[in-house]
Amino acid sequence: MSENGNYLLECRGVTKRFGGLVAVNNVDFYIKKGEIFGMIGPNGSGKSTLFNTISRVYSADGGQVFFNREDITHVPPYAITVKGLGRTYQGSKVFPSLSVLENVIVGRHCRTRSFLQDAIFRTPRLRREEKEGREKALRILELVGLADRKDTRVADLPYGLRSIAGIAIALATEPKLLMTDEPAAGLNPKETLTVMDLLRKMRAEMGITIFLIEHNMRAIMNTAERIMVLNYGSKICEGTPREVSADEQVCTAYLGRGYRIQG
Amino acid sequence: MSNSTLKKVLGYVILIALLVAVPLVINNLPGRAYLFHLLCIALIFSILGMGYNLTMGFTGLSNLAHISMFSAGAYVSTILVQRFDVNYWLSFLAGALSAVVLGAFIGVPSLRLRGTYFSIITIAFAQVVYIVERNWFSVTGGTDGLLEIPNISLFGIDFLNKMNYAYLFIVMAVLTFLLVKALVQSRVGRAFIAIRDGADLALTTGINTTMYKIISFLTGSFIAGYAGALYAPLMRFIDPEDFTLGVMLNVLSALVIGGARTFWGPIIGALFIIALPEVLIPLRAYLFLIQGILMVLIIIYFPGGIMGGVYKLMGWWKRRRSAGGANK
Repeated sequence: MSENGNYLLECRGVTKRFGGLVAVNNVDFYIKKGEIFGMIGPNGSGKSTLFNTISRVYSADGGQVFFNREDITHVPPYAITVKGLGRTYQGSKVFPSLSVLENVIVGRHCRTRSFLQDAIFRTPRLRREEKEGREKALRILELVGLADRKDTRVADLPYGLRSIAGIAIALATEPKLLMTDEPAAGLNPKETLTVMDLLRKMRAEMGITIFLIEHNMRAIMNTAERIMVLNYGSKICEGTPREVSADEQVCTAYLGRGYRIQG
Repeated sequence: MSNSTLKKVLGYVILIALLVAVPLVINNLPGRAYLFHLLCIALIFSILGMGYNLTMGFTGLSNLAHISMFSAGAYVSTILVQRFDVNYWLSFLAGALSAVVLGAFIGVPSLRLRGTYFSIITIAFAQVVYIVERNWFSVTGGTDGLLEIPNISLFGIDFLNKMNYAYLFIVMAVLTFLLVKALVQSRVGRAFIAIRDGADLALTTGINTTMYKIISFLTGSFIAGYAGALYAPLMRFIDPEDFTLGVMLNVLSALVIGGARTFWGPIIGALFIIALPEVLIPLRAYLFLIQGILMVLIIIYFPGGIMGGVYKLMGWWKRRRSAGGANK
């Protein structure tokens, strides 16, 4: 049990090893409900590995992860999603052969129940869920601004919109916490602003807490309220964007000397 | 809107008329017994292929033991009929269920592996099944196989006339088609496709991927099982050579040529692969060479198979027409 009921996610001593390499080393942090929490660090510093360990794509080699004060260190990944922890992947993974709308409907999977017998006999439950699923998916597409592309195959979307489609899939799982891994990677400045605005809008309108990895410093410094910095798998700093960018160690490891927050 | 509904209804009417007419036409052709036999084999391979499409096509599990489940359906149903005098339709069900049991035995451990590793382990299991069938003389008749399998009878109609088999298999193929379509277009089917498109993303999107892979594998096994139970009485004789890796590769080529991940692909592919040797009788010695070259060409130029190509062409035609309309 966490001491503080306000913590939505808490990691205690989380460690992940690949053979002799310690990719994530004894990391402690917490995220409060309603926060936008950022994570930065050089390439290979273990950010995505930490994401994968929290969402249980990998199993932790040490430490504990609490979500909503419940220990989820050994809960299977699909069950974690059901509890309200959604995520996107680096390089905006989507289901490429399906349409935008179908992608979001797949995201509704864990909020629906119909099964083999419903599919074969087209039961009222199936028809109700299909109708509701479509409506809810359309609402999500309107929120993220993809409603006019709903019938496009995601593989045919421009890269910038694919990232947003990835977020839409995660939104459809009805997350309390959304972990999003470099949603602005490869986007132009205008698209980056759209994505950051979308993250803020999701928090404001849906009360979703955000955990964000981003390499675009201007974007993350202006979006996150607190930032944690990883280097060689260890946490080297945590604080407000201003505190983090003034930190000696962070400047040496990542930002570079003379870094100033812009914007 | 109503125009497209009308078109759909019209399409179904034409399709049903065609399905009813084809056996009647064949019935009036010379050499009808052989033509019926070919049609029935093609229909069985369609059914087998539709089940395979579910696991291999829609879920992306490159399973090469599908033929073992087909053989289980054929052997179990036949043994029940011959040795235990069970009613054919009961043994038909038992055959399908035995395929599910064998599917669980093969699938549950194999599905821990991914990609090529999964394919290799399924080949190994398929060989084990084949070797058991060859050597378990007291049950399977070994290499002699099972002889004099009785004809099916249904509501007092006996199936001495091959036309009755053709109609029965058409009905079974239609039912299988509807089953696969209903599954794929439901929550379950979308989970299958999500696994194929990205297993990790599917997992963190809340899909129990292990469970759905097993469901897909077992549903495919079930379909293969009853296809086998239909195959035995048609052939009236089965032996292990009906269920070799070579036959499995034919099922695979039929799916690739017809178009995996499409509803019609397995049917078109089965018709193609059964018709090809008949068309190529003068070149029979080169059959596998021609079939192989065809496969390579299709994989390179039409990765979606015949049906994938057809849908692409239809999409191109629609876009061209709508673009033309916009210009006016």
